[in-house]
Amino acid sequence: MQIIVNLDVMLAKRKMKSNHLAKRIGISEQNLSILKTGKAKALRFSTLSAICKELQCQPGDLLEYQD
Amino acid sequence: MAEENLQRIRRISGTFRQLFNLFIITLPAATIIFWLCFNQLPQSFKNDLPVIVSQNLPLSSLLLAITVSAIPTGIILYAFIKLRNLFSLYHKGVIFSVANADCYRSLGYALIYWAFSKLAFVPLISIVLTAHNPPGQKSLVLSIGSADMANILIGSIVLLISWVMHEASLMEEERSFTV
Repeated sequence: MQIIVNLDVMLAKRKMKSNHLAKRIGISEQNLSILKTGKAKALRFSTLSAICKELQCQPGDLLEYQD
Repeated sequence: MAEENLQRIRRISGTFRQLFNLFIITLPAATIIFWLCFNQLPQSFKNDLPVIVSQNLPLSSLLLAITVSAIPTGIILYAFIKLRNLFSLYHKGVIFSVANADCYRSLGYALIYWAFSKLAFVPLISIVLTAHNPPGQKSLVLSIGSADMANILIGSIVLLISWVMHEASLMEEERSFTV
């Protein structure tokens, strides 16, 4: 079981680049890369909230549970 | 300032790494040379042995003594290798990782093993050194002292600290992957 982060899908849908999003939500590109590549071990609510606000989506659009 | 301190730690650790590289080579060599030149050494070099050796020893006894000495020497060598690895990590700027904690754990075990190895070394070396003595003058020495107990205690404390460090490094790793 694992949580899949569909951030790259949402970025493609919104036609936004990672570095642009990183700058808009105030985190480093390196940290955003950790999130995109699925290496992240935890995601702060503040970060999730900022991404959702910027990409105009719901947490469920970004996170997916796979058995 | 923190970066300056890290640079200093790296530089000093690099020196210690080289020092332990030297010890790793010289310790076994010194042990072998000690026993091979044993008959030529002055008495002051033999004062730390558990038995008094007043006569020359045959080559077979000297070779056996090298073999028996390999027990504590091997453990000290193991500790030196772990210290070299630890300073190597510090030299690379790796201060707070699981690998560091593993080095400390190995050092803790080395201290405990060393105490037990001395318990085995003293009787074995006393047998080897007195095996060629006339009947009635052969010795079997058993020794356990407060220093051995202290080594076991310190080793146990180092093991506990390494466990805490291991858990802390896992927490640090998790923190670094929290976005």
